[in-house]
Amino acid sequence: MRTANRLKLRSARSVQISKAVGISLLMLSSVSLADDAPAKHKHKLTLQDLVNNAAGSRPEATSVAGVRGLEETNGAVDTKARDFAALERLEHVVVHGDELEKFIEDGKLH
Amino acid sequence: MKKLLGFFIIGFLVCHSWAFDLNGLDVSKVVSGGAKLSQAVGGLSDEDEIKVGREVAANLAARYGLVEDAGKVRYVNLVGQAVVSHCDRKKIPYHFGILRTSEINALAAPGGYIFITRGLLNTLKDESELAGVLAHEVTHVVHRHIVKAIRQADLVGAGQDLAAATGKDVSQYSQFSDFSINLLSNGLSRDDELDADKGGTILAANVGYDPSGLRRSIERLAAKQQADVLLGRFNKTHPPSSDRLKLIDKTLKQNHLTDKGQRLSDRFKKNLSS
Repeated sequence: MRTANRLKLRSARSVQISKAVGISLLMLSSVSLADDAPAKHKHKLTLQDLVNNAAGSRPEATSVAGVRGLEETNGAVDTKARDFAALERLEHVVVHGDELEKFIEDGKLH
Repeated sequence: MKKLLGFFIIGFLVCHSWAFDLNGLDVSKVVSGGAKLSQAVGGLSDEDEIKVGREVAANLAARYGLVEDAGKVRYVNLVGQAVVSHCDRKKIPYHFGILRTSEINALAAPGGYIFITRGLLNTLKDESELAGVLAHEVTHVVHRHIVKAIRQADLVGAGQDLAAATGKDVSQYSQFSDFSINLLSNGLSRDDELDADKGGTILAANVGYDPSGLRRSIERLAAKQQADVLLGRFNKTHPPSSDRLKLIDKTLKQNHLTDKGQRLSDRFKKNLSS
């Protein structure tokens, strides 16, 4: 009787282990398949989407910039973005010596 | 069954070791990269620093947008240039921009590109506070804090030689600017931030502003809720306000900066009211 029970227990354990191995192999194969498959674009609802939906309008520069900055606080930074045209407009703001002197004098600065 | 598990584990390890295949990369070149680039950055000329700074500034302009109100931008530049006229590094041109975001922060890119966010500008009460904030950022540029951080970063150096080893053409400026952009997002060292507080307080005082301008602006932000989402990056990139205020108090005392300079709240409001 005891021997029969032991055999039953052993076979039950074997079945459990086989199931575990089978599930692990299935998971591994699904991971490798997922790695090979081309990445599909998933649309994630962003703060910008919420702003656009609320306003019922297309994205505009002002809201994009503001919302994008906030979204980035806890996310990855886009290091590749560049706006040289805007930067050049800033670089063209030149303060001449006489204008600065007057500004300093008016403010009673040194 | 044990044998089966053993095969399974060995198979698993073999499969995953493929993921770390270096594709014949010359590892010796990669390892030597840090030292080579450290030497390169150590000799970074003003011209090269400005080139890196332009990339970083153009990135900030793209990510946030720049306020293009001519009057406001000119005023911020006048205050900034007044500060620069008393700093120890006048050979490079300085540009002061306003980032179009509600976030509360100010940033200094290498090479004299300095930005304050519209969010921070809206919290300030007078010109001495604006001068204090800009003087803090000018000090980062004068003391070349970002260039120093690039020099100390071995990862950038490894990346440079990694490019050579794999035969890809990745420009040096791109490496430096990517690093600088991430650095501005994650924050300079605590020592550099406190150094900029000290230097900025003295610099603003030398121009003739109330030396407590920077202190008041930090104190006001500290009073805002720490959980304020607009202060997220500011809190992440700066030491605790209590430490900063302590250091500024010490600086004011040590340098006898007790005389009240100009606050110029009327001029500030006149130029920045919408």
